[in-house]
Amino acid sequence: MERLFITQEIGSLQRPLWRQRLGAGLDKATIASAMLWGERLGVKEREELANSKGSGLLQRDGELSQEEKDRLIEISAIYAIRMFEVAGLDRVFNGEQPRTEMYDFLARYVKGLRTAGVLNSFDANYFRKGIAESRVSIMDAGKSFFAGEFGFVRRNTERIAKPCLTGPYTMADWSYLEYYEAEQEDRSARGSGAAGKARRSAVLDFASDVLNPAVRELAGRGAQVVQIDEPAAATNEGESGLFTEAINASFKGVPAGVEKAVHLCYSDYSSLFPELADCVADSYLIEFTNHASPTNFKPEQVDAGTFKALQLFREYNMKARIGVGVIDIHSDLIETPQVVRDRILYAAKILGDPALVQVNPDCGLRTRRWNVAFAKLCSMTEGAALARGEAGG
Amino acid sequence: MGRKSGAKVSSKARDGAAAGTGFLGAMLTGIASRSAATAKVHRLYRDGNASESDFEAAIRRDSEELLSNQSGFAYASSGQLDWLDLFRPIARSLRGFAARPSSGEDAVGPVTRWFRTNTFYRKPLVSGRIGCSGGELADVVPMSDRPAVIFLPAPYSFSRMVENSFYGTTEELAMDYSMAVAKSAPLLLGKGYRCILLLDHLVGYEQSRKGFSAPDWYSKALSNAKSAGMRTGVHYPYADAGRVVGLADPSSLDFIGIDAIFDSDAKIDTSKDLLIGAVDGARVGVETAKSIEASIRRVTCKADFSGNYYVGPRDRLYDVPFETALQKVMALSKVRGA
Repeated sequence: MERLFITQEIGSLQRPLWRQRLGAGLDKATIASAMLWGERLGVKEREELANSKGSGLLQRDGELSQEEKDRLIEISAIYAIRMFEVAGLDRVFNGEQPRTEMYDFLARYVKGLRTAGVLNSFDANYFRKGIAESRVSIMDAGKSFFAGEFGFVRRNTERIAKPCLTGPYTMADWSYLEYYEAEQEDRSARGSGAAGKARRSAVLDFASDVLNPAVRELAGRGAQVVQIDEPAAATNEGESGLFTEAINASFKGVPAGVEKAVHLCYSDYSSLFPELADCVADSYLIEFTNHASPTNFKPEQVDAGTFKALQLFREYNMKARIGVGVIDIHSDLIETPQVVRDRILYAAKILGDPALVQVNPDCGLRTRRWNVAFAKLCSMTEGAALARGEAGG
Repeated sequence: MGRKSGAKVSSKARDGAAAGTGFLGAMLTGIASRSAATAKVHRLYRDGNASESDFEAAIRRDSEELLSNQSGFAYASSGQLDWLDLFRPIARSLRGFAARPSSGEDAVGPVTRWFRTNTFYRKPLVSGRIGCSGGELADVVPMSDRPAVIFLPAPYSFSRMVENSFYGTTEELAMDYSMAVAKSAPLLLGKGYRCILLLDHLVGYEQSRKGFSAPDWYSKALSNAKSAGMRTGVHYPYADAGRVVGLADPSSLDFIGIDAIFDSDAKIDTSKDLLIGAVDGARVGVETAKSIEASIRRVTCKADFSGNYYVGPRDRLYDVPFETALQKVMALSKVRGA
């Protein structure tokens, strides 16, 4: 039986400094930082980056081969895995080190999508929005990529590997649906809900022909948990039924033993009800801490509307586990373990069963530098341990 | 009443072009998107691998390109590209807002979804009385050598989209905010600004959710923001035009911005000038001057209004890539009226 308040990350982690600066020429301080982090996290592969012979990948003068570049990506993934392990997380992945960004990495493997250009999301977060020019479906190369990525993490950790994929509703919502809109206009549906029909068609194609093959591939390769990321879930009120249908279609055929997880963030979650009660997901990893008071992180000061979503899960008797976001990923402020503990116990009280509570940051930690991300994760696992002590887990 | 109605307006617009009435020109209606090159510099800046001046230079290049495509516009705009959202520069500069100094960035509140988009803003935390000395807003926009427009949240949207721990009522908050806007006008004039466009996104959003009911102070708050020497208007993206013009009609504002793409059966009836939002900032397809003029005609042929109108996007050009935004701006610059 899984222990109480299992800890996990959501997905992304910033690229380590040495990888960010790779193209710009690395100075000694950056290489030293790579070695320090490597030592701190126990990454034995750090010797491949720099060594006393001066033959490390980061010490080269000339252009690296593709094979060497690929190895650097693998090593940065190992750094991410080790960071999660040393911080004490129960479930880990690769910090999305081989990926570009949550929409683009998947879009690159979708037939029918072409990149339109770059759009801003928040602060320095941008994404390359695509245009659906024909029906969307996943490429074989996409399935291979996800299988390879998962296999790599499994080979490099004893912890539970939790792969994540951007969900069908979000992929459709963040794409220009030109093909689907034209298709509806051809059917003379214009003026009678054509836009809604186009969206529905696109969302369900992403679910059945992009996500489902990828999810099944991962489940078939032994994934114990697969997470679908749906930051756009509650963007359009009135589409919670479509959202639920899409998640169910994405998980169709996945064996019962595989935990079907969904990540939600920065939305009014209550608008997903009551339709969400029909969703097959076993767990929901949700952002909560963003709404906390900036100066005093007490659970009582968290916006009541935010925690209302937890009450809805209980009200609808869903019995899903809730990954409570206890770390704000848009602030350098390090939450104390005591605050994390309080939040976990507060969520457990609302849900009425501590066994239903999992623990995670609000969202991916790509927004924070490594030292901040690491400190936050350490605080999170310490807080979970304190909560276990109080809950008797 | 001085109003022109129905087909007469179209005629008036055409006839009036030479006399300086009818079509008044184009303007943008919100913050514009940034180029891929600027996005790259922005990420490098965030990660500590580029300087603030590198980021500023990138923004400046995009702004200049955007401006260079606005020939013939009634009011030019640099796109306010350095504004990370519509609220933060206001919360950072005016008095009365809490800061989050330990966060490592200019964070002032929770990250919140911007309506039905994949963009987010920091919800400002109002912790004291909102006020200004007059120069704060002028400090957060660039100098303009052409008559320019500044985009600001409208008092209603502003009062409902911030977190307030100071004011007893949203009315008091809205009034103080609108007074601060008006007080900023003289120094904005000094920097070349001749138009204030108040963006009231929340009205359309609420209309589509559970219905919008204007508080009794609504038009007074708009009137408070009316600034001497500035054309001042309010714009309603994604709103039913026929149902919103009446909100601002009693105010002392000069013009009302409507979403001409949004389906509406209700009649537009106002004594004021219109800003006709006829370019879609959320779709990647680029309109032509001809198609924009056709959209204008659809509005003017059945509206009762002053007969004078601007044209622009229905909403900000932020949800399309920079290159697409530029093409849409170019199309607007070619519009000669209905």
